[in-house]
Amino acid sequence: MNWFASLCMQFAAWLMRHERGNWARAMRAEFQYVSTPDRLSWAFGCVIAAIKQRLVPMDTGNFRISRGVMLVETLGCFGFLTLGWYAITFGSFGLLRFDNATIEKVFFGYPGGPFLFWVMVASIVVGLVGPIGLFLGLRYVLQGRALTNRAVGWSMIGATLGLNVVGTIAGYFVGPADFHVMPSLTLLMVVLPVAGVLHLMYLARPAAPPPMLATA
Amino acid sequence: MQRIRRSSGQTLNLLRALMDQPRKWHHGYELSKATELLSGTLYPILMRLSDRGFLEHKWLESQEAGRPPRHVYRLTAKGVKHADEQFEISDEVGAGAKSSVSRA
Repeated sequence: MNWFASLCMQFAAWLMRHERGNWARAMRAEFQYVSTPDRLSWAFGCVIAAIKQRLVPMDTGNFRISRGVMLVETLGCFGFLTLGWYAITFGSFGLLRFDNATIEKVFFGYPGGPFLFWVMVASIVVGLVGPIGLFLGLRYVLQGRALTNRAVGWSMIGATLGLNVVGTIAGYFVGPADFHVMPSLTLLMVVLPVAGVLHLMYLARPAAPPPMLATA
Repeated sequence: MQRIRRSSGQTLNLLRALMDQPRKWHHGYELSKATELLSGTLYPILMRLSDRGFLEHKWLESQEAGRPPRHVYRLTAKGVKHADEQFEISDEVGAGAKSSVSRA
């Protein structure tokens, strides 16, 4: 288990904010003096301490995260939407694989079918937010370039929210009889991508200058 | 008048451990044992105290060969004053709570 505790210590040091590097070194050095039975709990604690340090600036309204954390966020925010968009566009049941006769048979043969068809068409267009967001997030990770074009950002947010609102309202009126909103799907396909775009736009804002040092 | 913020119980425990021998340098594992705080709680408190100028720290060479230097901590004069204030507040709150219980 010693190797696992050492691995946790390395992870904690990696996770710790850059400005706290001295403290990460302090925790790692102290680890060498911790008795064997306490080593794992010490290492876990250090991971938690590093996570807490990551959260402190966010708690004070500073969301300028490192590129490594942005990679995780990008995959979390846009990964699901991208996969969903790929599935309904090019997947085995993707709309582009259907010919006219199949579309007629699958979507227009029962009540609520046309609604599903048009939601799929709109989702193929709006779902582009997924791959575009993934591209923009990865660009930030690799080059440090955020989303400076606010029109693009607000369009992505507006399209995602708009389709969700219109689709939900329309679903209750002209959708299938068993239509209902799935909160988990809303979180993955709407809330997370919108949060991701907002964050990319926030990162494009110039950073606040460091506070002036008080002079005696 | 400046309002003094009351520290958490965990911070008070740590301040007590540091005030036990205020001039002595303490290391993290020793403080963790003395306060029963896990490293995940201990280090963020140490960092916060250091940020506020209540704690000084330095690296101390190990007496044992092949061991890395240790980061050690003690309260600054400002930190000792802060600890005394916190103990006073804690005692007042404790006494207030006791009298409320005895009145009830």
